[in-house]
Amino acid sequence: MKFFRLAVFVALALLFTGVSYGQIEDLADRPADKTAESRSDGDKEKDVSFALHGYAQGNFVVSRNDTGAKGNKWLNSRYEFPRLGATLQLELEGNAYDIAHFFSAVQIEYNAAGEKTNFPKFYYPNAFLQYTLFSYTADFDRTEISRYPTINVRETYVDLYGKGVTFRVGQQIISWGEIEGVEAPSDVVIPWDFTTMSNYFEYSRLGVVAANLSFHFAKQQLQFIWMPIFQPAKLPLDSMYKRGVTSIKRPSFEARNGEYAVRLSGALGNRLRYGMGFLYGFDDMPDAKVKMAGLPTTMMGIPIFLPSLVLTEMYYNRVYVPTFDLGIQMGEVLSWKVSANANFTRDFWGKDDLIKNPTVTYLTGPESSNIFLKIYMGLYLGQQWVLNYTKPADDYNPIQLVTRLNAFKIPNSKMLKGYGQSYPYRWMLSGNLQRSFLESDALEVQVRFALYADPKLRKWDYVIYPYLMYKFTNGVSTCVGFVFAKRQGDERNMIVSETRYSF
Amino acid sequence: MKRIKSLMAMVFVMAFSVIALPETPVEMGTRLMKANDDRPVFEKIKCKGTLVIYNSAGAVKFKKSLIFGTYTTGTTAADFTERYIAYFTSPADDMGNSYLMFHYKNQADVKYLYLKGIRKVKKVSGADKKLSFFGSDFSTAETGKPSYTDWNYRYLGEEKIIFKGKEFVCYMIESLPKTKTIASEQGCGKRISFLEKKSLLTLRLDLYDENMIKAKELSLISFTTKPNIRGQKVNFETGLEMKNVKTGSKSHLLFSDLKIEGESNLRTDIFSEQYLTQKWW
Repeated sequence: MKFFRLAVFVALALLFTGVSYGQIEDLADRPADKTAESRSDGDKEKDVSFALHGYAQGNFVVSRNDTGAKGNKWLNSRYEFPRLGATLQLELEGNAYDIAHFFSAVQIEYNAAGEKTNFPKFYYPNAFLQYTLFSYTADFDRTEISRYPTINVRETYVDLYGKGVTFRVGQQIISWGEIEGVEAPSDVVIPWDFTTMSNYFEYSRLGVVAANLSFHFAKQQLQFIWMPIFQPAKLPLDSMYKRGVTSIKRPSFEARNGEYAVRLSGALGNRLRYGMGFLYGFDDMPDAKVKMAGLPTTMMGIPIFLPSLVLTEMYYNRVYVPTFDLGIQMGEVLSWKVSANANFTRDFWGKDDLIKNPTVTYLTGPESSNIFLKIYMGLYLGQQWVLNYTKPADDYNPIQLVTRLNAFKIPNSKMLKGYGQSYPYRWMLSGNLQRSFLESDALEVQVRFALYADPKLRKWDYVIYPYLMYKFTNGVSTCVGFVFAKRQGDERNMIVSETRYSF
Repeated sequence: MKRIKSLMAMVFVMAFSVIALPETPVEMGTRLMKANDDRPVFEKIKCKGTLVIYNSAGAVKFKKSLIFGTYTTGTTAADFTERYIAYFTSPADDMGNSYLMFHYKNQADVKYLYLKGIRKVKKVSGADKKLSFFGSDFSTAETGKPSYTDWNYRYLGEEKIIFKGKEFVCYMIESLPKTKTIASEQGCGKRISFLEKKSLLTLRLDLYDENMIKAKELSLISFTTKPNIRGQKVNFETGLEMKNVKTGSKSHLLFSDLKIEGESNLRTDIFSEQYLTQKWW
């Protein structure tokens, strides 16, 4: 009886004190106690694997376009639906052990609004070098619109990995710099797509075919890139032809027309990141060749040249582009970023109006994740300086005009304006603000903007792009963006809606 | 002689009474949290992680999966470094994003994020700590181990916490941020930890916002016990639940297919920016 009482006492004492301490480790997971998660996808990692992913997306874009208002025949009004249809992107990805990787993203797009494919290749201007409005001479037939789905290989590359070395070859997107979400000056390797009608920033970039060799050592990366085929920036053709461009010619696909780039980047300590790059390639934006045919004549005894035919050909010149990046972490709250480039063109001394002058461009500013509540913010101020700047001639002064024409020089103010070089420098303010709302951060609100102004802040170009994205559940989202843009004299406003299911 | 003896006796009594003085709540809280912070860890871990985000109605809203590797070195505060690398495998719109973090005891964490959309590795500033971790109820700060030196501690008493249907007596310890900056950075004005008495496992953690209103409740769902490379027994949390008491939503962070130390085959050179875009698992 005494033994029994003692046993009960010990049991109670253990129960209320120490025995529970002993029990907790009995509740630890056993190796066999796999959670539901591990049971559902408990396959062993495969050494060679392939996976197919991608998305299906419905697109709806409505735009208001002042190019049309000025008389493009293909437009019935200022308003149109330039993108109305669906996109299917298929992404195939594979890994072979940890030595090779393959990725391909192919986009199939059906645009019910069709695409204009019959731009005229040259025109007859009426007089002098007035940029003839397209409606005046265009022989556009509105029924000639292509509605076939298009296939676009966004990326297809193979990676090979060695110890401290990576090699990527194929069509790829290469991004340089510390700043993202805006047109960073140092991000020069791949061109921009200025025709994009997507809310996703990545679709403002175009992939290039390249061999990309990187060495990684001591938190540094040394990158060598060879791009055998030059890919220029994609420009809105209606805007180009409105300005009287008769053709755009890429460099021929020859070995001598390759592009080369090198970059050293990395971290110095935990607070400083840097990048120094150099690109020997082609300017992503074209220069112009203007050919004029006509006979010299006299007016009131003064010999003048009146061209009867003007051909404006756009082509691409070689450039040398050093770039510089810096990211300095300042305390725990924010970092300071710098992105800069110098674009040395063929016309270093600024003697030829038809070739762009060299420029130096920089953006610098703070980037923080939560200066004000939970807002992600990057705000960058900068300038673009035109080296060896030449002031535009006054095309409205008849004496200057005649003098220039007799010297076989065209009136240059519109050319310089088209090149964005009307002023010795211009101001730039770019930013990216982002905040998430609602449960599970399901609603994302973002505003991207870029403002450009002359030195006296009188004339402004701008792109202001607020957008909202709502995520319904895994991989299902819809986003609506509002574009307000005025750039190089064109005004474009758009509402871009994309509803996506990723798989 | 008698006097000397009695003097010596008094000295002994006083000495032992000093030794036997009970700890103050601050001392006890600090000691226990130090012991919690110094719990043995695995040197290498490779596992699958799943982040399940539930809405306030309790339905799964998002589920994200990642492959996760960690490598820890150093035993003292000066040389201690925890390295984390993670690669998102699902959902499809997050697949390809990856994350790298270095956690130190004596300095701020260093974090990098690779976002496949922008094809860039981004260094994440410390101010990101209070932002939501990939849309979940966890903040970025709460997914890592809190820095022991950032907080002041105080023992509050004992409380019983239920874990897997059983009751366990826990130390209840209050942690207050040492500076306003820490509170602001982490979006946390106070934490109350419930440490299981024997193992010092955190069975529950109550998180208060900067206005001292209870905002979230972290609970242990599961853990596993294995010896580490030094033969020390390690209790490793394999399931955590974060409940947002303000909104009613919750998130689970679950680790499965746990491979530790030698069986993980984890290379130690993968904790670099290079491997944010390269297969390492």
